[in-house]
Amino acid sequence: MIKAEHLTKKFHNFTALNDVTCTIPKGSIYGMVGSNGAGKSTFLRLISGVYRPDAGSLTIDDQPVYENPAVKERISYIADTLYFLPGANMNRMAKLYASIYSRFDQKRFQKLTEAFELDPTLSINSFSKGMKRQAAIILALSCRPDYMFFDETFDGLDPVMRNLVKSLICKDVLEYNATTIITSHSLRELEDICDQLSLLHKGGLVLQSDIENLKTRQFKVQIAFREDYDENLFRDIPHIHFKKSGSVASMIVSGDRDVTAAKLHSLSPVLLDILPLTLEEVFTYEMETLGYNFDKILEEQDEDEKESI
Amino acid sequence: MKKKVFDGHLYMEGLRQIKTISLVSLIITLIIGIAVPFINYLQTKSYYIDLTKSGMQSDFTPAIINTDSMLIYYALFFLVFTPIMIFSLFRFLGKREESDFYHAIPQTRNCLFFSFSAAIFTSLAVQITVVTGVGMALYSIFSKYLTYEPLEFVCFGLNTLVLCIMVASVLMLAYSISGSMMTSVIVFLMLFFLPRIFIEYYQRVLLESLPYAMTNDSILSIDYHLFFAFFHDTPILTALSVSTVYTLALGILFYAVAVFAFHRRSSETAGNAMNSRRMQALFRTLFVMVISLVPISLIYSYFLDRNLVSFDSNDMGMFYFFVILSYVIVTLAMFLYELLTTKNAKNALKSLKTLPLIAVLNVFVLLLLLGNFQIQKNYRIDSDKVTSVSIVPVQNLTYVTDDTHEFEYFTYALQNMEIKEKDVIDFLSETFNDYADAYNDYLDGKTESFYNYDHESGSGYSMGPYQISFHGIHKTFELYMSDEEINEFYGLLSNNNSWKKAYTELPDLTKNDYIILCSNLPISQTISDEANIKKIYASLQNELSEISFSDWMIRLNNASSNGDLYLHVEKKIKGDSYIFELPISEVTPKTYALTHELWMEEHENDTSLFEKVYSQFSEYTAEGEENASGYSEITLYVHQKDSDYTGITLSSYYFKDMDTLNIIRDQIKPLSDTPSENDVLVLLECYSYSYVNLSQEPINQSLGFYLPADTVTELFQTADSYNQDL
Repeated sequence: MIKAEHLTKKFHNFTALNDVTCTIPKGSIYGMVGSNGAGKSTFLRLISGVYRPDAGSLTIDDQPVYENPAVKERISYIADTLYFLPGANMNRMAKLYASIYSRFDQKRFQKLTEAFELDPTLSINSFSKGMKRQAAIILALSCRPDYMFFDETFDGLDPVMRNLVKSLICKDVLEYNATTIITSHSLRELEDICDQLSLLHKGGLVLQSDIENLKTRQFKVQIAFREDYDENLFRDIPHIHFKKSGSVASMIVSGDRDVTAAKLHSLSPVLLDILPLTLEEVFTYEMETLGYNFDKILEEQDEDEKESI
Repeated sequence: MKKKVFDGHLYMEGLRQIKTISLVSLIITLIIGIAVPFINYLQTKSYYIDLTKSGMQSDFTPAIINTDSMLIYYALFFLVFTPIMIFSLFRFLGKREESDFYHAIPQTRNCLFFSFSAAIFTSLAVQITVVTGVGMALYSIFSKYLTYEPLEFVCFGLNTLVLCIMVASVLMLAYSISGSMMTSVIVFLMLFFLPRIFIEYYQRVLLESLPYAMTNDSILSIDYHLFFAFFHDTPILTALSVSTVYTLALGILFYAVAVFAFHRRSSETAGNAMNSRRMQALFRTLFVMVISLVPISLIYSYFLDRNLVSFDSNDMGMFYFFVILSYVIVTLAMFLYELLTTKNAKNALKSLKTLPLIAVLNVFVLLLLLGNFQIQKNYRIDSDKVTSVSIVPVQNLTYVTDDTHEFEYFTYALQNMEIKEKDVIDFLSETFNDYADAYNDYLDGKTESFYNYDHESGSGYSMGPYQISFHGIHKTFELYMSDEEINEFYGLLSNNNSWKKAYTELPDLTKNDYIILCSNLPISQTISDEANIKKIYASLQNELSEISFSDWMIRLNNASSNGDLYLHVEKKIKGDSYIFELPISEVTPKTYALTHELWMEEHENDTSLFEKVYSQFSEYTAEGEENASGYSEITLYVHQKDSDYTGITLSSYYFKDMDTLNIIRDQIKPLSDTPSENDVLVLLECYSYSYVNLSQEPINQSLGFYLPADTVTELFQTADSYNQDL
């Protein structure tokens, strides 16, 4: 289990991570989203023992990570910017990993190399961006880690490879009860693999929740009546968003779906649709309740990306 | 524990990563390391063949190979290959993604540092061992033509390795506290040279402002640092000495600090100039302070010179100009340093905000120097606190030659001798205090000059300088003395047994020591039998206790310049050579007589050889070189009782006096004959060379004979009259 308590990391005057507290259970796949500079990579570097926390604590199975080889031996971390020895091929990198990680599994390395159809004798410099990512994933998975941290690792992978990687991660989670943290800009990327999600914004953990819970506890209602009405009509129904357009109102309702449907039917509407929410919609509305504007956060992210281009 | 301190797998990985560089460096140094012995071999063999062709192979001695020829390619190890290996293996410290990778691996930072640095040290050690071993093996194979001292080669290799460790440690420290290769190079240069620049500056300032101050006896002396020795004092490299220990200790110290810095280093430092802004400011300030030493020196000199009689106040305009110009350069240097290291003009401009701090530091350093100068200048010795003194002439402290590690023996004996007599301590303390007073008077403008010796009045300092160590107060000064003072000093020492012993108790010789009998006479041979020379030395050892100490000292001080005969001794002590030259003169009559006896014994041979020279002498024409068929020269040396040797030279070109030669020929007796009372020993130095018959070997031989004293007197009278006629 990974446990962060009041975790803070600063770079000179810039606070990259501010008072973050979270718990990531063993065997889970934990997704972390947020705009550029939100602190995702910093969090992963802290949890991989690259950085020392400035304040707070960070433990894996109740052991600190920083300068703790016993814990780090069980971690594989794939950074957003990959590192390979100059001019090395995958076999040479495997040798490097084998000299560093005592659990490095040469057979698995060979098996995965074949599965990804990569030539381990070719210089990695000659690989495409996506192939380099695959190489890094193969090396990381060959270490048989209990904890796997992927920092925007799926970027640059084609859908087939992305699914392959996802299935490999899921397999490790199921077979070895491995714990995985995946960061990404894209909620859609994480939706189908993660069982927990969190949102980081400007160094703070804004939201953290079980993904099933997120998806099921809220739903969208579209309703219409013959007579005129306003939001007060639904005061007994817990909702976080209400919008009326003509005679049709839409709202996001929290709570039990069947109970809510029964209550709404009792009002005799001429139109009643109860729809599931996408994860992005869930985040948007949850953030609104917390006083954040998720769209704005994403806009900031887009602007950052444009600037970087 | 395994992965917290050292990891064998990581160590092997380190070796793998520097494998290519190691191989390249090994190949380069091996090629040179093999080529140099081969070139030496071919050159010497060619010389040997030339000698053989002219029938002089007996004159051949194997060429002595010293480590000088190895300097250039051994320097590659610490100047080129060590930095390349460090930058290759610790490259990750300059790039963020690489730094993150190595900081994420399951090893502690200490383990990573120890394992990787051990890989570099191993590679260097192997390379140096292989290159040295191959060189020694080749010289051993070529031993017919080349000779070398294996211990010197081994020590040279070890000293080079120590130097590599030192350079590597400083570089690893520099890289650990900086975030890019460029900055680390700058920091390395600063770490490596700044302490030396500051030390040298302090010492230079002190020496120039206080002429009797001594700085070269301190552990901070540049002589102890192998790096600087490599470029100016190579003999130090051929022995394991204090310099080795000092440089290794410095290397270990830097290594320890590097371990600490690496352990504390943040991964995010990679890509930035330094690991913290404070560190950046510190190094920038140090750099700027070095430049500031120029204006500080100018101002310091002004404060020292302003009261001198020779001080010209009209030059103050130039003084202000240079001070202001220097500080403008200091400001520019500060800006450029920040710009170069951070590549950010804003940072460079911001750094100028610390100029007031630089100004404060300048004032502080200036006050420190002036304060220290005042303390040193006003220092006087309280002789009651001095337990003993040592005194040696400074000129003898330097190495005798540049290509081997040699010292003057008596200086060594004196250095280790402490004089405890109160009158000597009082005298030297007073001499120092007077000397310091005189210098203070000069600085205060009371006297016009300090050093000048007035020959008319006999006042001033004419003798020295002497290095005088005052034990008990741990002070050493370098003083000149006046004639009167030095006479008084020797007068005091004449009763000092320790002092006498240093010059009269000669050390016993061992088989490693080297001794020859030398002569200032133009003769070809003295005594070649080492056993005979050692007999002379043993005789001198015994006789020195019986003779006048002052007479011996007068002769000893000029052994190789005024004496006709002297022993040249090279005594080996702990791997170093200690050289001394002992006059053989009438001051030691027993040894003098023995020397002649042995000399003549060795040269008594062959009247037939003389006959051969005689016949050639008479045959060769005296009409000048262009018409001559050869050249002969015979010099007759006779030892005069109250002086040294005097000689008459007969030459087939210039002084072809057959009458004189015939007298010699008729009256010489071989030394094997029993001499009459009237007979004296003479030495005939014979040289003859035929221009026509080139296959005939030249004759160059010293021959000993007896000749009647009357005949000798007559011969010298003839020679005198001839010279007068000329």
